[in-house]
Amino acid sequence: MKQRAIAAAIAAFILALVLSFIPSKFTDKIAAGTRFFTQPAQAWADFTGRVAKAVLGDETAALKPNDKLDLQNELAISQTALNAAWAQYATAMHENKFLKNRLKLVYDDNRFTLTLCKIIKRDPIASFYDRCIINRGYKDGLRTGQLVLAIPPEPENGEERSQPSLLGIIRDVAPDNATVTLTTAADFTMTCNIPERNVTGLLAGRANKSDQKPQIIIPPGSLVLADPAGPEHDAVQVGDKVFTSSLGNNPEGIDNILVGYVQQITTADTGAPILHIQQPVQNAQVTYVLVALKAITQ
Amino acid sequence: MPRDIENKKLIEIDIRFNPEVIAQFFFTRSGLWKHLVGTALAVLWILAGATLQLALPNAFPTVPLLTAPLVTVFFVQRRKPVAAFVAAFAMGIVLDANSFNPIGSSSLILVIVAAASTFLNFKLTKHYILGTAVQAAVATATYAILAILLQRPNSTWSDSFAILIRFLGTTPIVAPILALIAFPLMDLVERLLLGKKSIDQDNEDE
Repeated sequence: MKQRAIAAAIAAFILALVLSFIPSKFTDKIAAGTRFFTQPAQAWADFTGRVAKAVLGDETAALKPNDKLDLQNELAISQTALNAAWAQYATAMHENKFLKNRLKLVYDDNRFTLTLCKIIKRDPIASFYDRCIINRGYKDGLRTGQLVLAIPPEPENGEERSQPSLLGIIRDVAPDNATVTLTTAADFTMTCNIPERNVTGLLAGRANKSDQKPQIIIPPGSLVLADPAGPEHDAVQVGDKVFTSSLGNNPEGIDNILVGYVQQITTADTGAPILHIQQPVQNAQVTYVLVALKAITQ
Repeated sequence: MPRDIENKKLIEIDIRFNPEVIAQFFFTRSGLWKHLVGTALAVLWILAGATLQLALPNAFPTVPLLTAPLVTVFFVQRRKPVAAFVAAFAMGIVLDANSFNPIGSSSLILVIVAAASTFLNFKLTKHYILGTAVQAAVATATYAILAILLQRPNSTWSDSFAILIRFLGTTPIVAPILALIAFPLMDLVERLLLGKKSIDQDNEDE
């Protein structure tokens, strides 16, 4: 038995090693075929995860089990219908504007359309808060530099629905999918401003790496707006809203997208203020996102 | 030609049908049913292990729920070594295909996990609970270490080290609990479908 186990281990190891060196045009076909046949299992696993989270979560703890299941069913149906309708609307709007303006290549900085996308890959171990892959790509009009937004949560007690907030930026685009760098990634940077204080600054995913201690507490802390510049940079207060401001260095960037709220103000060794920004949506539980595509003027 | 071989045919083939053996193969649990259902269950556990590992971290991002190494340990404990390595290889392909990793990287990791688990299984055969807990913890920790080493993206060594510390701190608690809950349930499903007698017979054959 031991000899058979050793032989099986060596054979499996060599086979796995050989598989790693096969050219990608063959392994891509293997991967596509495997994804096709395991799609029902993946859908079942997603459903199991959602049900497990709903069962172990405390939002519906006061309800009876049958009421919980009924509410979960209604919520799932409503969300599916809403997402489908939103996707159809966003796609139709984008196609309409693109077709009307296909001969004109001037973007309108203040108008954009939203495309609904689903996060299809997110590494569970090493880069969970750095990157993810969404299910639309070059063929759907996505380009490098476009902003990725989080769907705002449902308003409570009749409050007005808040606007979508920044979740990340598209770094790489393939025909059918795109890689998104999240705002919580270590290499994320973007220029932002606080309009009510007339202040601009550089937003970073985490503090300077030289003073960064290893991240042991999960999730990562708030975003950092370092070296704010402007006549009222000392007047920034907790609660001020922070928006994107591309300053023209990102042709696909869109201004005035909500990033978050100033949560804390500290002072660096140089005396400059450091603003800690709290995002309205935590990216750990996000499944669907919106991509902002710039509109083309007529 | 000598007389004693004059009447003999050049080649003789004798085919016999044993009806009682045929009936046992097709119409009892220890026959065709066992092989078909056993294979179907193996495919089910492989798909469940791989797809749950892809889906559960989205629902519970702070808890290290790595189901693929646990299913590998289940195969090592309950099946023959060849079946365990085939299952690990197949789970790796499903994981890589659905997570857009290079095909073969997860298979390599899970084969190494299966080898480590097989070694521990030989040493801890007589201690079921302790053996299951130790194998689950070692398998999940090995998977996490190799995944960070082989599938690490462009993050710094300090970030990867911190993630590793988090996993090694929580895995010895979460993995054994998950294994000691899931393995009896999987055993129950197999006994219901395959029959206790059929499983005990396989264990005696080994």
